[in-house]
This record gives sequence, structure tokens and C-alpha cells, in this order.
Amino acid sequence: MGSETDDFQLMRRTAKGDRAALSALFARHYTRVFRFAARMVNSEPLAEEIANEVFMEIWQHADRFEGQSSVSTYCLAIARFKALSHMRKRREVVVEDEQMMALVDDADTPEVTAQVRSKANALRAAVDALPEEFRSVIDLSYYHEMSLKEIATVLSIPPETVKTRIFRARKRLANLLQDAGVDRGWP
Amino acid sequence: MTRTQQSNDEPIGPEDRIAVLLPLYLSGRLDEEDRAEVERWLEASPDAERALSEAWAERAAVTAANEDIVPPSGALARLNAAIDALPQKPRPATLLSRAWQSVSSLFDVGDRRLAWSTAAALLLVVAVQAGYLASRPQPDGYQTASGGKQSSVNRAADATVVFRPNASMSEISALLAANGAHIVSGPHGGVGFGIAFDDMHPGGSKAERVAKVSGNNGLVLLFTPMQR
Repeated sequence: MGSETDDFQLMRRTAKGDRAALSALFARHYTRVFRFAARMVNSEPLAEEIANEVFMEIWQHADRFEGQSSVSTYCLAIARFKALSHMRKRREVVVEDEQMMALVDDADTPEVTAQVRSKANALRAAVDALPEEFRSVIDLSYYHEMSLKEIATVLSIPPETVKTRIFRARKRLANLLQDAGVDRGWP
Repeated sequence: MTRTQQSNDEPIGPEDRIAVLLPLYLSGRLDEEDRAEVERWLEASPDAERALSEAWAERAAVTAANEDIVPPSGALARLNAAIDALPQKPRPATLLSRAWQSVSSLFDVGDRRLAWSTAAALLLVVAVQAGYLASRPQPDGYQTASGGKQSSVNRAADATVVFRPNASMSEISALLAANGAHIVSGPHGGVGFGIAFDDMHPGGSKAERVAKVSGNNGLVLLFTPMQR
């Protein structure tokens, strides 16, 4: 909570034009924002552009932050909005199971077979192969360690929908692993 | 029906709640009621060990996927450059226009002595910052850099300050000392002083200390940052 109080103070100072406060917010939250954007759009150059837009938005409109969510939630919510805007412009096609299917199709050589059968590698490929809506909710719960309410805020969906997506994301992971010849069994 | 379609259409039953709650449980982000539900299930279910193991494995894979993404270097510098390229807000004019409003209000309430001294101070601030007036040495004197001896009054001023007429020297000294600030020039016209802030001071960052001196502390009538 001390960290959240610090973030709120930094936002207030940024709203008054304090560049040092913005730099402090950047140090605290840039990596998280960049990684979230990169996982959404599958492009690090575009993720950098999005992350830059997030902090520019904060610099120009920090006075709009009302403190109803944490600053990290606020940053990721802006990042998601910016990412979706870019994706709509670029008419990105979401690759669903292609990465995983490619891995399965390549399972002809003994080396690749061993790789596929390596559960950790298969799970990593499955995580990367999830559709964006499932990948985001899994990232926000496991990596960004957000609560149901915070995930709902970032994704602009009700908490019950967050629960549905978490369940379906985990089921999809199980199915992808099964397709790759790895039996997980739960859920 | 493909497996994908099946997965999207299946409703979530009560027995699937644990599958939903486990990722949040591992992150420590469940409320008390949900955490208790998960812990009761973990104690009672024969699937507990496997379920936890799978969730931890997922968490490790998701963490690795995210941590493999390395943020670009120099991003902060690029952000600052982009901010510098923005159209500049008229901050000094805003401050002066607000100051003029304060002067007008002083005339309105009849405090003419204070109003006239403030108006004179405003003119001096503009004159000093425009370079029309040079700073004067303190009565105790100081030597220029070429003279070899350095003192704080040789430092460039960070701001021009006009203190309230009723502010005592001890109060002003205490305010400045608490914020690592020093008078480095003036008085200009008997009212304005150039002050400089130490870069490092236990009182906080320079920006924080500037805010404390320029803010509503009852001692400072006018605070104008120097333009560099």
C-alpha cells in the first residue's frame, strides 16, 4: 500500500508538470507496460510505440487519474486501449493455434519429438499460441498478479467474464498440450 | 464440432471454480472468502497436488514468456525528447498573469502598501529575468570565480522570490534552510531575491523542495523560476 501511495503522489506531481515524477513512474511501470503491449500485438517495435504513447498520455493528462484503481492497472488499461487501436488500424490477424500446430507438424524428427514431448517447452509454446483474449487474461493473472477486479478494469469486461476467460484459457492450454502429445489431465 | 468450438460453448460449472481461482491464489490476489474456498479444496481433494503442480507450471511458462521480452534501452530519453517537442505551455506567463490577478485583488481589498510592493516586485522579476538588471553582491561580499574564492552567492539563481512584507528573517531563513535553498543575489529593488536550490538535500528531491518554497507557506508572495 505504501507503494500505491507513492504512485498516487507521483501522479499528482506529474499532473503539476513534474518531469522527475514522470521519470519515477516510468521507472516503476515501463517494463510492465512494454511487456503487456508486446504480448498483445506480437511486435516489440509496435509495443515500444504503444508504451511511449501510454506515458505521453500520462504526462499530458495525469490530472484525469482519479485514484480509483492502482496506477499499474491504469497504465495497462491505457496500453490495452492503444494496442487495440493500433491493431484495428493494421487489421492484425490473430493467430490462434498456428504456432502450436507448427510444432506438432514438425514432430517428425527424434530431436523435435523430444522437444515437443518436453512438457515445459510444450507449455511455453501453448502459452504463446493462445488467442489474444486468453493470453491477456492469463498474463494479467499469473505475471502481472492482478486481482479479478483489476483484470476486469484493464480488459473493460465484468469480473464474471474474467472468470470465464481464465477457465477457458486454461482449458485451451490443456487442449493444446494434448494435441502436442502431452497429457496434463487437469483441468 | 471442433474442440475449439466445444471449449467456447461449454458453461463453467461450480466444480470448475477452482480452475479459475488457482492462478489468482498463486498470485496472492484472492479475497479472503475465495482464498478460504481454495484452501479447503486443496486440503480435501485428491487432485490437489496435480492441480497445484499444473498451475505452477503455467505460471512459470507465462513468467518466462514475459521476461524473455527485453525492454528497449533509451526509451526514457526518447520519451523526454517527444515531450520536449510538444508545444510549450506558457507557464511563466501563466504565473505572471496569476500574480497580476493577486495584485489586482490586493488593490481591491485596500492593502495598497502590499499591492504596490508586489507590483514593483513583478516588474523587477521581469527585468531581472530579461537580463536588464544584473544581480548585486551581498553586503558581506563575495568574489568572482576569477578571484578564486567560491561562495554560494556565485551560483546561478533557480528562481526569483519576493517574500511577504510580514515575513521575518528567521522564518525565511528556516524555510530556505529546510529546503536546501540559498539566497544568491538581491535584494533587487529592495524586494526580490535570487535563490538557488542544492541539487541534493535530505529534504527531498529538488522538485519537491521547489514546490515547498513556491507553495502556500505564508512567507512567499511571488516565486518565478528562472528560464534557462
